[in-house]
Amino acid sequence: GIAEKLGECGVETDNDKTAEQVYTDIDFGPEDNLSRLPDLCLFQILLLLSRNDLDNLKKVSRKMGAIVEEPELRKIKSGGGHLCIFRLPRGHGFELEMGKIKLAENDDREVNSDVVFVYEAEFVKGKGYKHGITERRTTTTISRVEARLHRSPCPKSMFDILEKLLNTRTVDVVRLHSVGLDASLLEGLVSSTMGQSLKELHVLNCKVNATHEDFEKFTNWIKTTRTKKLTVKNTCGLVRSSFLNENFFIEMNGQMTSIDIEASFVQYSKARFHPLRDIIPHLSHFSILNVPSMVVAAEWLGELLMTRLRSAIASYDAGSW
Amino acid sequence: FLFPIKMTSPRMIKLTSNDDKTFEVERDVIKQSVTVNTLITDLNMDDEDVSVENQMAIPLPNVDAATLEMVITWCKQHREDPPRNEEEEEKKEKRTDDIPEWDKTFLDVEQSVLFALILAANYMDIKGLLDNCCKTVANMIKGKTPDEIRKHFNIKNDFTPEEEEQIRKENAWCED
Repeated sequence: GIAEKLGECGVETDNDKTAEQVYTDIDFGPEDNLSRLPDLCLFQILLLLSRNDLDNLKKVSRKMGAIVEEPELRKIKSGGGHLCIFRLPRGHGFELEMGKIKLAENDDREVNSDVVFVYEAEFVKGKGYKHGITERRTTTTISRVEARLHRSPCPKSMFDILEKLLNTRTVDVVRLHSVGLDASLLEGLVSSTMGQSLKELHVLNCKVNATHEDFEKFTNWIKTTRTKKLTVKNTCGLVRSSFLNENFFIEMNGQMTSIDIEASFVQYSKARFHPLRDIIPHLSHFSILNVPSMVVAAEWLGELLMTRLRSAIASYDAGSW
Repeated sequence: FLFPIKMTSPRMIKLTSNDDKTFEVERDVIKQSVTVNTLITDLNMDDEDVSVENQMAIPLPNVDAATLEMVITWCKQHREDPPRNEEEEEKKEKRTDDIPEWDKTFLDVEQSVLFALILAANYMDIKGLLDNCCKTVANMIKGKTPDEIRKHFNIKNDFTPEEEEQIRKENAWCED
């Protein structure tokens, strides 16, 4: 009969044990329907959640804790992170602020407040680095007193902790604030942000103490993190270093949309460069391009405009407008 | 000029729930259930010229009558939906804010009913229904604290005090 055929087709027809009986074998609450779902169904629901929600769910019960640890779910990272690396009077620190949870539209439920991880490491004579991390839920960021420049390198432990935090989180914005741009910082950044995709990189009030190889690493890091926007303010060492040269634009190969370098004439005059005409296609997609050290011929502007117009027409023809 | 007009009535399929209630549903409507569709094909039920009265009913031992009725209602509503392209669905960004309005109202039911629908959709392999049910449950979880989730879904906290302490300390792993 059909029952046999159902069996042949791999459809469960075992009536000896009803679903209810199976469920009572497991010690869940009387109306706990969520825990009673087959793992595959539960898994499908959890795939729709953010990292923050999964972290909360993990703390609900043993079953939820176990399923959230599934490798596929561990890949889900919380997004929208803002990372700020800053200098302290005798050390360094970072602040990792995770964005608010985006609920469905028309959903008027309250959202969890922002999660901010604050790490601070200070060097104590004779004792080495004293460091600690705190997690807080707040909507306001901490205010920092500007620390004077010191030459102590960024401790490796700082980037180890950052790497661990970023295993389950994604960062959109990185802000390097009043730190020394040196080998220790660049190496730490490269290792801890592996696989991240950055929207913005801001370099503010930084002191540069890096070699040519370090700048190559820096350029490579911007490339691998697919950074879209770069802002440099009050960091004359970076402007003078000529790391922003013709090759930089060619290497980026159209990934960046905004470069904004704030520098005085004295700062950029020594780093001026005259790129070849071949660079024009690499400049056409920028919405903001403020690189004072780059000197281009006036007639290029017309060519740049034509390149943009051509690409706009091409995208219109392709129907992407 | 009177031509004999042969009225082709839609082919009907009988489904029996686990509480022995039989439902007649159009073949075109129930084709959204991969399980039932496969059975119909494998059992050559499409080829047989058998009236619905004499037709064997397909038993659905994991679905009760009330749930099956809802599943059929959902299938009727979505009978015109274009077939799903699973590869494209996989690539799509996972969102929970795109449940159609009709489904939102349809799935605004008691939790026990919603979970019965999930089980039925999973058993009958109706991807569209299962997706929207899962999104509805995911929206219930989103933005809630562990305590709120427990309360909302009546989940028993089965952690021992030691385990709870361990969870509490989990985020302090790097404090010296």
